[in-house]
Amino acid sequence: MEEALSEIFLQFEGKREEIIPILQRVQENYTYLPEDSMRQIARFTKVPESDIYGVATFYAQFRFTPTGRNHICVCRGTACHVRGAPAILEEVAANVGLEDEGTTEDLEYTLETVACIGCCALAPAITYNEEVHGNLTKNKVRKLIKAEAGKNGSE
Amino acid sequence: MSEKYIQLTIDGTPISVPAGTTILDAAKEADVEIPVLCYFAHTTANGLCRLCVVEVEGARMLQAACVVAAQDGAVVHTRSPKVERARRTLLEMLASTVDISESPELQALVAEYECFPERFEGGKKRQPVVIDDNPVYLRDYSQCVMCWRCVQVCADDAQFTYALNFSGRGFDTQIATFFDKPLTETTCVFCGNCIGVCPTGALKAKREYLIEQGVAPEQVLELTRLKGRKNRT
Repeated sequence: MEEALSEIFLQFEGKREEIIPILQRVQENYTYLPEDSMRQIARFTKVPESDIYGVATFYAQFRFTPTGRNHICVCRGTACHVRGAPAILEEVAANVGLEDEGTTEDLEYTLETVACIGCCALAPAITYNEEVHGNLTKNKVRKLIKAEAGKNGSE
Repeated sequence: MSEKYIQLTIDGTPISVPAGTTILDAAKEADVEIPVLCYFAHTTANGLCRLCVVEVEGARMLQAACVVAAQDGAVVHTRSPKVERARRTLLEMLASTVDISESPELQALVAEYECFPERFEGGKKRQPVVIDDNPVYLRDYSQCVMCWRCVQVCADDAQFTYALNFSGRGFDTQIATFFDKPLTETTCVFCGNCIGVCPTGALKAKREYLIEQGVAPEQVLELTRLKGRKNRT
């Protein structure tokens, strides 16, 4: 078993009710849920593999393919929608080289839409690597993505 | 030690049953038929399909007869307008999203409850492709009504193989294997219990399917032979 995985398991007892926190920790580590980790989680918790898969597929937060190094969530909640989320989504997609939601081939960006990020007063808003950016315009989106790309490059 | 009995009335018929009996079983005693879909005598009742709902006087909501225990002094109506309306809507939603063409019992219920599934016309249908990944049976989930029986017999209610379970959520829920792998790569032992308990045509023996398609018997045998056996001459 991979070291990262055994280290995560060390923090749990292997109880059925720990499945979701374990899945979350594993995903934090790998950015997604690899098949082999899912098998190991099944063994660790003594819960059938098909059950683990059922739990993981039920929640929108779990994914089975790797995400990009930069994770952008565009809010499509009611407030953001009426203040122009569709245009923001289009602009973000165009600037990272995607048609719609998804991950770029070079694994640089993952673009996702979410139902609400909880800051309706800042609509329209997005999160860029978990940092919230609000009151956006197409122009601000362009600048933000450019600035962030520059930051990554200099690191 | 004598069992404690309770008295209740089902559709006007007074009946006495042991405490803890479900309304469904009590109704059987009273010769009252309640339609069921997910309920199966040999699997754990879950009250998933809600087709067995009945009206219990004083209860806030309709009760699923297969899981709710009859109470002493209860007055149960199994065919009140409220019950009929609930069942009709359920059947209409099922008939409009799922292919029930190979489910005569469901079709009969749709007719009996004077359903009008066309009122949901234009709505999304469940139309996943047929999964043909093993020599034993086919899985056509466009006919699946999510009764959960196949999962139950695969797990603690019969076989303890745990090859199947739900995946996804809401409209996209489907019975699946681990990472949607072919059954031959799962813990499945091809016991056939799931095919036996499927209330629709969703799970079908491959031989039955091939014969329906008009394939010659010799060919059917050839097509459904397990690969490992072939080498053993």
